[in-house]
Amino acid sequence: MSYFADVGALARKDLLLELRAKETLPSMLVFVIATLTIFHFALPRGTGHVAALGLLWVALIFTALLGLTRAFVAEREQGLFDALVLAPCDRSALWLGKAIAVFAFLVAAEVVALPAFAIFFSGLDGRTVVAVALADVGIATVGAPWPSPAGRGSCSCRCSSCRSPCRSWSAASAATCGSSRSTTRSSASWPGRRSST
Amino acid sequence: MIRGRGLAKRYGERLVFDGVDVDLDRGRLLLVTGPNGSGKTTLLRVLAGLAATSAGELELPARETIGYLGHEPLVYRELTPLENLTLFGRLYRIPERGERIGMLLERFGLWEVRHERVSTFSRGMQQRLGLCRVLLHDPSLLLLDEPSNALDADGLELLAGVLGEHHRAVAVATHDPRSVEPFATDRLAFV
Repeated sequence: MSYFADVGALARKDLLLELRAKETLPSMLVFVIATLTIFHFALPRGTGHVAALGLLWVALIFTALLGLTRAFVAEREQGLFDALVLAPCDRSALWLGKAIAVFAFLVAAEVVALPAFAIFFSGLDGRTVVAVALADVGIATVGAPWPSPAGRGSCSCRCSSCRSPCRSWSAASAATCGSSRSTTRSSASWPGRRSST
Repeated sequence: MIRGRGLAKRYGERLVFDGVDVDLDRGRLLLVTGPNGSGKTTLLRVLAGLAATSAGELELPARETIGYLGHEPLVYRELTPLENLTLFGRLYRIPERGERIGMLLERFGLWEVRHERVSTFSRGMQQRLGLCRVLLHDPSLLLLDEPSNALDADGLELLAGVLGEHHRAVAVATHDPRSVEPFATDRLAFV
Protein backbone atom coordinates (compact mmCIF):
# COMPACT_ATOMS: atom_id res chain seq x y z
CA MET A 1 0.00 0.00 0.00
CA SER A 2 2.81 2.40 0.79
CA TYR A 3 4.05 2.07 -2.80
CA PHE A 4 0.79 3.45 -4.15
CA ALA A 5 0.72 6.08 -1.41
CA ASP A 6 4.17 7.20 -2.64
CA VAL A 7 2.93 7.27 -6.22
CA GLY A 8 -0.13 9.26 -5.16
CA ALA A 9 1.98 11.75 -3.21
CA LEU A 10 4.36 12.25 -6.15
CA ALA A 11 1.56 12.64 -8.72
CA ARG A 12 -0.29 15.03 -6.41
CA LYS A 13 2.91 17.05 -6.07
CA ASP A 14 3.23 17.39 -9.85
CA LEU A 15 -0.41 18.40 -10.28
CA LEU A 16 -0.05 20.94 -7.46
CA LEU A 17 3.10 22.37 -9.05
CA GLU A 18 1.28 22.78 -12.36
CA LEU A 19 -1.76 24.28 -10.69
CA ARG A 20 0.48 26.95 -9.15
CA ALA A 21 3.15 27.52 -11.77
CA LYS A 22 0.86 27.06 -14.81
CA GLU A 23 3.82 26.38 -17.06
CA THR A 24 2.90 23.22 -18.96
CA LEU A 25 -0.83 22.96 -19.58
CA PRO A 26 -1.47 26.49 -20.90
CA SER A 27 1.29 26.11 -23.48
CA MET A 28 -0.04 22.68 -24.49
CA LEU A 29 -3.55 24.09 -24.93
CA VAL A 30 -2.40 27.11 -26.93
CA PHE A 31 -0.25 24.92 -29.14
CA VAL A 32 -2.90 22.30 -29.94
CA ILE A 33 -5.64 24.86 -30.65
CA ALA A 34 -3.31 26.99 -32.79
CA THR A 35 -2.21 23.93 -34.77
CA LEU A 36 -5.76 22.72 -35.40
CA THR A 37 -6.83 26.23 -36.40
CA ILE A 38 -3.99 26.49 -38.90
CA PHE A 39 -4.77 23.06 -40.32
CA HIS A 40 -8.43 24.03 -40.61
CA PHE A 41 -7.64 27.00 -42.83
CA ALA A 42 -4.69 25.45 -44.64
CA LEU A 43 -6.44 22.30 -45.83
CA PRO A 44 -8.34 22.61 -49.09
CA ARG A 45 -12.07 21.86 -49.12
CA GLY A 46 -12.92 18.26 -49.72
CA THR A 47 -9.87 16.96 -47.92
CA GLY A 48 -10.61 13.48 -46.68
CA HIS A 49 -11.31 12.57 -43.09
CA VAL A 50 -8.29 10.28 -43.04
CA ALA A 51 -5.98 13.19 -43.84
CA ALA A 52 -7.65 15.28 -41.16
CA LEU A 53 -7.15 12.48 -38.64
CA GLY A 54 -3.50 12.31 -39.61
CA LEU A 55 -3.17 15.99 -38.84
CA LEU A 56 -4.94 15.49 -35.52
CA TRP A 57 -2.28 12.97 -34.61
CA VAL A 58 0.46 15.39 -35.66
CA ALA A 59 -1.05 18.07 -33.40
CA LEU A 60 -1.45 15.65 -30.51
CA ILE A 61 2.05 14.19 -30.70
CA PHE A 62 3.69 17.62 -30.71
CA THR A 63 1.45 18.70 -27.83
CA ALA A 64 2.49 15.57 -25.94
CA LEU A 65 6.12 16.34 -26.71
CA LEU A 66 5.66 19.78 -25.20
CA GLY A 67 4.26 18.22 -22.03
CA LEU A 68 6.92 15.53 -21.80
CA THR A 69 9.84 17.90 -22.19
CA ARG A 70 8.52 19.97 -19.29
CA ALA A 71 7.73 16.97 -17.09
CA PHE A 72 11.01 17.05 -15.17
CA VAL A 73 11.79 20.77 -15.35
CA ALA A 74 11.39 21.37 -11.60
CA GLU A 75 13.57 18.38 -10.73
CA ARG A 76 16.21 19.25 -13.32
CA GLU A 77 16.47 22.98 -12.68
CA GLN A 78 16.43 22.73 -8.90
CA GLY A 79 18.56 19.58 -8.65
CA LEU A 80 15.74 17.69 -6.95
CA PHE A 81 16.66 14.37 -8.50
CA ASP A 82 19.38 14.13 -5.86
CA ALA A 83 16.85 14.45 -3.05
CA LEU A 84 14.32 12.11 -4.66
CA VAL A 85 16.65 9.24 -5.54
CA LEU A 86 18.10 9.19 -2.03
CA ALA A 87 14.64 8.56 -0.58
CA PRO A 88 14.05 4.89 0.26
CA CYS A 89 10.91 4.62 -1.88
CA ASP A 90 10.94 2.39 -4.94
CA ARG A 91 12.34 4.34 -7.89
CA SER A 92 9.58 3.09 -10.14
CA ALA A 93 7.22 5.13 -7.93
CA LEU A 94 9.00 8.28 -9.14
CA TRP A 95 8.33 7.23 -12.72
CA LEU A 96 4.73 6.16 -12.14
CA GLY A 97 3.88 9.36 -10.28
CA LYS A 98 5.30 11.40 -13.15
CA ALA A 99 3.50 9.24 -15.73
CA ILE A 100 0.15 9.83 -13.99
CA ALA A 101 0.75 13.59 -13.98
CA VAL A 102 1.72 13.59 -17.68
CA PHE A 103 -1.38 11.51 -18.48
CA ALA A 104 -3.56 14.05 -16.64
CA PHE A 105 -2.01 16.92 -18.64
CA LEU A 106 -2.58 15.08 -21.92
CA VAL A 107 -6.20 14.32 -21.08
CA ALA A 108 -6.78 17.94 -20.08
CA ALA A 109 -5.32 19.14 -23.38
CA GLU A 110 -7.42 16.67 -25.36
CA VAL A 111 -10.64 17.61 -23.58
CA VAL A 112 -10.22 20.87 -25.49
CA ALA A 113 -8.47 19.55 -28.60
CA LEU A 114 -10.90 16.80 -29.58
CA PRO A 115 -14.05 18.95 -29.57
CA ALA A 116 -12.09 21.59 -31.50
CA PHE A 117 -11.15 18.95 -34.06
CA ALA A 118 -14.79 17.85 -34.31
CA ILE A 119 -15.88 21.43 -34.99
CA PHE A 120 -13.09 22.27 -37.46
CA PHE A 121 -13.18 19.01 -39.37
CA SER A 122 -15.68 16.22 -39.90
CA GLY A 123 -16.58 15.10 -36.41
CA LEU A 124 -15.21 12.37 -34.20
CA ASP A 125 -16.08 8.76 -33.67
CA GLY A 126 -15.75 6.78 -30.46
CA ARG A 127 -12.95 4.71 -31.94
CA THR A 128 -10.76 7.77 -32.35
CA VAL A 129 -11.41 8.88 -28.78
CA VAL A 130 -10.47 5.43 -27.48
CA ALA A 131 -7.35 5.35 -29.68
CA VAL A 132 -6.29 8.78 -28.38
CA ALA A 133 -6.83 7.66 -24.78
CA LEU A 134 -4.74 4.54 -25.36
CA ALA A 135 -2.03 6.61 -27.03
CA ASP A 136 -2.03 8.87 -23.95
CA VAL A 137 -1.38 5.88 -21.72
CA GLY A 138 1.50 4.83 -24.00
CA ILE A 139 2.98 8.31 -24.23
CA ALA A 140 2.77 8.91 -20.48
CA THR A 141 4.24 5.58 -19.46
CA VAL A 142 6.98 5.36 -22.07
CA GLY A 143 7.70 9.07 -22.26
CA ALA A 144 8.06 9.76 -18.54
CA PRO A 145 11.69 8.63 -18.24
CA TRP A 146 13.00 6.38 -15.55
CA PRO A 147 15.00 8.60 -13.23
CA SER A 148 18.64 7.70 -12.77
CA PRO A 149 20.86 8.72 -9.83
CA ALA A 150 22.67 11.22 -11.96
CA GLY A 151 19.41 12.53 -13.36
CA ARG A 152 20.44 11.59 -16.86
CA GLY A 153 18.45 9.90 -19.56
CA SER A 154 19.43 7.32 -22.08
CA CYS A 155 20.13 9.63 -25.04
CA SER A 156 23.81 9.90 -25.80
CA CYS A 157 23.59 13.65 -26.38
CA ARG A 158 25.09 15.51 -23.40
CA CYS A 159 23.02 18.67 -23.79
CA SER A 160 20.17 18.51 -21.28
CA SER A 161 17.96 20.82 -23.32
CA CYS A 162 17.91 18.43 -26.26
CA ARG A 163 18.35 15.16 -24.39
CA SER A 164 14.83 15.20 -23.03
CA PRO A 165 13.11 16.06 -26.35
CA CYS A 166 15.13 13.33 -28.11
CA ARG A 167 13.92 10.73 -25.66
CA SER A 168 10.39 12.08 -25.51
CA TRP A 169 10.11 12.28 -29.27
CA SER A 170 11.06 8.63 -29.70
CA ALA A 171 8.68 7.55 -26.96
CA ALA A 172 5.73 9.62 -28.15
CA SER A 173 6.20 8.49 -31.76
CA ALA A 174 6.37 4.85 -30.81
CA ALA A 175 3.35 5.12 -28.54
CA THR A 176 1.13 6.79 -31.15
CA CYS A 177 2.01 4.68 -34.20
CA GLY A 178 -0.49 1.92 -33.47
CA SER A 179 -3.27 4.25 -32.35
CA SER A 180 -2.98 6.55 -35.35
CA ARG A 181 -2.95 3.60 -37.72
CA SER A 182 -6.09 2.14 -36.15
CA THR A 183 -8.05 5.41 -36.53
CA THR A 184 -7.03 6.09 -40.12
CA ARG A 185 -7.82 2.52 -41.19
CA SER A 186 -11.26 2.57 -39.63
CA SER A 187 -12.05 5.99 -41.02
CA ALA A 188 -10.96 5.48 -44.61
CA SER A 189 -14.56 5.70 -45.83
CA TRP A 190 -15.52 8.87 -43.95
CA PRO A 191 -16.79 11.89 -45.89
CA GLY A 192 -14.57 14.86 -46.53
CA ARG A 193 -13.85 17.87 -44.37
CA ARG A 194 -16.58 20.35 -43.62
CA SER A 195 -16.56 23.42 -45.77
CA SER A 196 -15.37 26.51 -44.02
CA THR A 197 -17.31 29.66 -44.64
CA MET B 1 30.07 4.30 8.30
CA ILE B 2 32.07 5.32 5.22
CA ARG B 3 35.25 3.60 4.10
CA GLY B 4 36.93 4.83 0.94
CA ARG B 5 40.32 3.81 -0.39
CA GLY B 6 42.12 5.33 -3.36
CA LEU B 7 39.03 7.15 -4.60
CA ALA B 8 39.35 8.89 -7.94
CA LYS B 9 36.91 10.76 -10.11
CA ARG B 10 37.42 11.68 -13.72
CA TYR B 11 35.16 13.58 -16.13
CA GLY B 12 36.45 12.59 -19.53
CA GLU B 13 40.07 13.68 -19.69
CA ARG B 14 39.78 15.87 -16.59
CA LEU B 15 40.91 14.31 -13.33
CA VAL B 16 38.91 15.89 -10.49
CA PHE B 17 40.62 14.04 -7.63
CA ASP B 18 42.76 10.99 -7.21
CA GLY B 19 43.99 8.75 -4.38
CA VAL B 20 41.56 10.04 -1.76
CA ASP B 21 41.10 7.94 1.40
CA VAL B 22 38.05 8.60 3.56
CA ASP B 23 37.09 7.13 6.94
CA LEU B 24 34.05 8.52 8.65
CA ASP B 25 32.25 7.19 11.72
CA ARG B 26 29.53 8.39 14.05
CA GLY B 27 30.61 11.30 16.18
CA ARG B 28 33.20 12.45 13.61
CA LEU B 29 33.03 15.50 11.39
CA LEU B 30 35.06 15.57 8.20
CA LEU B 31 35.79 19.06 6.94
CA VAL B 32 36.52 19.16 3.21
CA THR B 33 38.07 22.43 2.11
CA GLY B 34 39.48 23.81 -1.10
CA PRO B 35 38.94 26.53 -3.70
CA ASN B 36 36.06 26.57 -6.17
CA GLY B 37 36.25 23.73 -8.69
CA SER B 38 38.70 21.67 -6.64
CA GLY B 39 36.36 18.67 -6.34
CA LYS B 40 34.65 19.16 -2.95
CA THR B 41 31.14 18.88 -4.31
CA THR B 42 32.08 15.92 -6.49
CA LEU B 43 33.51 14.09 -3.48
CA LEU B 44 30.33 14.69 -1.48
CA ARG B 45 28.20 13.44 -4.37
CA VAL B 46 30.37 10.33 -4.52
CA LEU B 47 29.96 9.81 -0.76
CA ALA B 48 26.18 10.20 -1.14
CA GLY B 49 26.10 7.57 -3.89
CA LEU B 50 24.89 10.15 -6.39
CA ALA B 51 27.98 9.83 -8.58
CA ALA B 52 30.16 6.83 -9.30
CA THR B 53 33.87 6.77 -8.63
CA SER B 54 36.28 6.27 -11.51
CA ALA B 55 38.62 4.21 -9.31
CA GLY B 56 38.98 3.03 -5.74
CA GLU B 57 36.91 1.10 -3.24
CA LEU B 58 34.03 2.65 -1.35
CA GLU B 59 31.69 1.32 1.31
CA LEU B 60 28.57 3.38 1.90
CA PRO B 61 25.61 3.00 4.26
CA ALA B 62 22.05 2.47 3.03
CA ARG B 63 20.71 5.48 1.16
CA GLU B 64 17.85 6.05 3.64
CA THR B 65 20.42 6.78 6.35
CA ILE B 66 21.99 9.59 4.30
CA GLY B 67 20.99 13.23 4.51
CA TYR B 68 22.40 15.22 1.59
CA LEU B 69 22.27 18.99 1.18
CA GLY B 70 23.69 20.19 -2.12
CA HIS B 71 24.43 23.67 -3.41
CA GLU B 72 20.67 24.12 -3.77
CA PRO B 73 18.30 23.45 -0.84
CA LEU B 74 16.64 20.71 -2.95
CA VAL B 75 13.05 21.69 -2.24
CA TYR B 76 10.18 22.50 -4.61
CA ARG B 77 9.87 26.27 -4.90
CA GLU B 78 6.19 26.26 -5.80
CA LEU B 79 5.28 24.21 -2.75
CA THR B 80 5.10 25.43 0.85
CA PRO B 81 7.58 24.25 3.52
CA LEU B 82 4.84 22.07 5.00
CA GLU B 83 4.05 20.48 1.62
CA ASN B 84 7.73 19.91 0.86
CA LEU B 85 8.46 18.27 4.19
CA THR B 86 5.24 16.24 4.09
CA LEU B 87 6.23 14.88 0.66
CA PHE B 88 9.73 13.91 1.76
CA GLY B 89 8.42 12.61 5.08
CA ARG B 90 6.04 10.37 3.17
CA LEU B 91 8.86 9.11 0.86
CA TYR B 92 11.14 8.47 3.86
CA ARG B 93 8.31 6.65 5.72
CA ILE B 94 8.72 8.79 8.83
CA PRO B 95 6.33 7.75 11.59
CA GLU B 96 4.42 10.62 13.22
CA ARG B 97 5.86 12.94 10.61
CA GLY B 98 3.46 15.76 11.48
CA GLU B 99 5.10 16.16 14.87
CA ARG B 100 8.60 15.81 13.47
CA ILE B 101 7.92 18.39 10.74
CA GLY B 102 6.40 20.80 13.23
CA MET B 103 9.39 20.43 15.55
CA LEU B 104 11.89 21.10 12.75
CA LEU B 105 9.98 24.08 11.38
CA GLU B 106 9.86 25.54 14.88
CA ARG B 107 13.55 24.91 15.44
CA PHE B 108 14.57 26.58 12.18
CA GLY B 109 12.20 29.53 12.55
CA LEU B 110 9.93 28.60 9.66
CA TRP B 111 6.74 27.69 11.51
CA GLU B 112 5.11 31.05 10.89
CA VAL B 113 5.68 30.80 7.14
CA ARG B 114 4.83 27.11 6.79
CA HIS B 115 1.92 27.84 4.42
CA GLU B 116 3.80 30.26 2.16
CA ARG B 117 5.44 29.24 -1.08
CA VAL B 118 9.18 28.66 -0.97
CA SER B 119 9.59 30.85 -4.08
CA THR B 120 8.75 33.86 -1.90
CA PHE B 121 11.53 33.03 0.58
CA SER B 122 14.95 34.61 0.81
CA ARG B 123 17.93 32.38 -0.03
CA GLY B 124 18.73 32.08 3.67
CA MET B 125 15.22 30.87 4.51
CA GLN B 126 15.41 28.36 1.67
CA GLN B 127 18.70 27.12 3.11
CA ARG B 128 17.05 26.68 6.50
CA LEU B 129 14.31 24.67 4.85
CA GLY B 130 16.98 22.59 3.09
CA LEU B 131 18.46 21.81 6.51
CA CYS B 132 14.99 20.83 7.77
CA ARG B 133 14.67 18.46 4.81
CA VAL B 134 17.98 16.69 5.42
CA LEU B 135 17.29 16.32 9.14
CA LEU B 136 13.71 15.12 8.64
CA HIS B 137 14.55 11.40 8.73
CA ASP B 138 17.25 11.87 11.39
CA PRO B 139 20.05 10.54 9.15
CA SER B 140 23.08 8.88 10.65
CA LEU B 141 25.27 10.30 7.86
CA LEU B 142 24.97 13.98 7.02
CA LEU B 143 26.62 15.36 3.88
CA LEU B 144 26.50 19.14 3.64
CA ASP B 145 27.80 21.12 0.69
CA GLU B 146 28.45 24.76 1.62
CA PRO B 147 25.78 24.65 4.37
CA SER B 148 26.51 28.15 5.64
CA ASN B 149 25.58 29.66 2.25
CA ALA B 150 23.28 32.66 2.69
CA LEU B 151 22.67 31.95 6.38
CA ASP B 152 22.48 34.93 8.73
CA ALA B 153 23.88 34.95 12.29
CA ASP B 154 20.83 33.11 13.67
CA GLY B 155 21.01 30.61 10.84
CA LEU B 156 24.70 29.98 11.50
CA GLU B 157 23.88 29.36 15.13
CA LEU B 158 21.24 26.81 14.13
CA LEU B 159 23.76 25.15 11.81
CA ALA B 160 26.28 25.03 14.66
CA GLY B 161 23.64 23.26 16.75
CA VAL B 162 23.27 20.60 14.06
CA LEU B 163 27.03 20.16 13.66
CA GLY B 164 27.41 19.86 17.43
CA GLU B 165 25.18 16.79 17.62
CA HIS B 166 27.40 13.77 18.11
CA HIS B 167 25.10 10.89 17.18
CA ARG B 168 25.85 11.03 13.48
CA ALA B 169 28.74 11.17 11.05
CA VAL B 170 29.05 14.46 9.18
CA ALA B 171 31.01 15.57 6.14
CA VAL B 172 30.99 19.28 5.28
CA ALA B 173 32.44 20.74 2.10
CA THR B 174 33.13 24.45 2.17
CA HIS B 175 35.54 27.04 0.84
CA ASP B 176 34.95 29.11 3.98
CA PRO B 177 35.56 26.78 6.95
CA ARG B 178 35.31 29.37 9.75
CA SER B 179 31.86 28.33 11.00
CA VAL B 180 32.60 24.60 10.74
CA GLU B 181 36.22 24.47 11.92
CA PRO B 182 35.41 24.29 15.68
CA PHE B 183 33.48 21.03 15.15
CA ALA B 184 35.90 19.32 12.75
CA THR B 185 37.57 16.12 13.87
CA ASP B 186 39.09 15.25 10.49
CA ARG B 187 40.21 17.41 7.61
CA LEU B 188 40.67 16.92 3.90
CA ALA B 189 42.08 19.77 1.86
CA PHE B 190 41.86 19.95 -1.94
CA VAL B 191 44.27 22.24 -3.71
